[in-house]
Amino acid sequence: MDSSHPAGVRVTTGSEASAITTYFAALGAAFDRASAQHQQTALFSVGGQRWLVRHAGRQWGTRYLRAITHLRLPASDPIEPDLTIDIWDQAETGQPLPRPVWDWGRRLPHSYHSEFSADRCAALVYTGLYVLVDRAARHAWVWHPDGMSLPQWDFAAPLRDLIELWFKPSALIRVHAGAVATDGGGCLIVGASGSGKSTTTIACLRAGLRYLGDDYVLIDPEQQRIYSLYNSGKLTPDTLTHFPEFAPHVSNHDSIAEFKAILYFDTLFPDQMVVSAPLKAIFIPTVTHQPETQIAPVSAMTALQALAPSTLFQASDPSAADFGKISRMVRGAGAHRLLAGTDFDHLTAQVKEHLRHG
Amino acid sequence: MTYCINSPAVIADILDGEAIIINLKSGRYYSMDGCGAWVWSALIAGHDPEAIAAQLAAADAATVRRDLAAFVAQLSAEELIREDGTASPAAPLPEYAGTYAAPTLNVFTDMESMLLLDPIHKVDDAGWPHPAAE
Repeated sequence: MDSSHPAGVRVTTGSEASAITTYFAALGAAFDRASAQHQQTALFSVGGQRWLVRHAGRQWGTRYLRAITHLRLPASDPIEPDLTIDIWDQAETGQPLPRPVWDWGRRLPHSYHSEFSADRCAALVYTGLYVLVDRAARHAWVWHPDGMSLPQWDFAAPLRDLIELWFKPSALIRVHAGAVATDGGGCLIVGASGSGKSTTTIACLRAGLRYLGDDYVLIDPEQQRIYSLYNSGKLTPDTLTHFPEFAPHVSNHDSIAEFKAILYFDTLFPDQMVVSAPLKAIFIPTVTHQPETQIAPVSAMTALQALAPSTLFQASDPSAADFGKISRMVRGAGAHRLLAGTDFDHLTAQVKEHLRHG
Repeated sequence: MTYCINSPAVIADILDGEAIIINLKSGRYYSMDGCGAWVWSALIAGHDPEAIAAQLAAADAATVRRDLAAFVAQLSAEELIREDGTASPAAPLPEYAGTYAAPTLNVFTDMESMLLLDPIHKVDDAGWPHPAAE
């Protein structure tokens, strides 16, 4: 292998490289055809960057981007976007993706990846979603044969693979955590499924804290900053009983048992959606079944153990560099066990107080 | 025999004297503290088990050698380390300052299923997906 190429990058012959260049050029033409009848454009703030998203058609793109609407920027923003993303599906627009001209390089647990150069790569996610990235052109394409058939969790957390691919060379990383904030700063709420992560995060939202997400957020370990990705939240049927006022707003009544109850909080709590917050603390909830909540400091290793495995095993292509980002982040933030009581007023007051005064 | 970390499938970090190790291939992760974390650090830095045992001399030498052999065998069985006869440690190994206890590997399997959840599509010769069951 040519040592001038980063690890994992396929070294292509001249004719293959030419075919890839031709292929990426054809993507633009394909999207132009898909969006000839109807195109919607919106600007979003993602991880401190400006992302211009253009989607063809009226249905799938609108629904697919529902969970990031709280990140929208004014359309008149004159600054050049950091990334332009073109999204379409064949079922709605009739426009296929140009047929791939490569053999998929690596089969990963949740996707196939091919890296054609340091700038260009493609991923085929297990759901059938294609993601293609041209870093030099700051352009990405997302395509699905029938977008409305994607599983519910894809609508609750769209563009996950693109977010992972795009931010991989940067300081940022998508982590598996909830996050809320006050004027005093923000916190990550981390833990495995069933640990009380979503219940704690959503209880804090209901109590007036600002919301950055309940399942995935971006973090910048250099700046110790949390960036929101999704305004959605997921609750199991059992935990939904703690929030009866949310029941009428569940977006997927017929699939709660399969996918959990999915809620979009930007319409319920529009003033509490925030794009980013400084990271002040990491909480690891443990349900105690006692009325009151207590907060006890724990080691950075405890936080790393609660956050890193679930984050990395959910990533498409986790690496030692990703682990390093998470490790740097937990070293710089105070980690605490949140001995979560059954009195949600007391629990959320404790979190608020900690963020206010530490 | 010397060993190295079984990268890129295995990634690890040490914080405050505790080690966390993640096997991205198997879905398992591990922790060690105290003597176990110290031995892990020494092993993946390229020190051979005999040299490591010598630095744990405060304890019974035969017991230490037996414990280390079992520990290395477990790390190998979990595919966390692999043999690397060319490893040469960058720094001399200091004597272990703590109280000796047989190194223990804590194994966590609760995330294994996360690697098995998704019915990934297979790709035909032309690069188009079809469900794995087809």
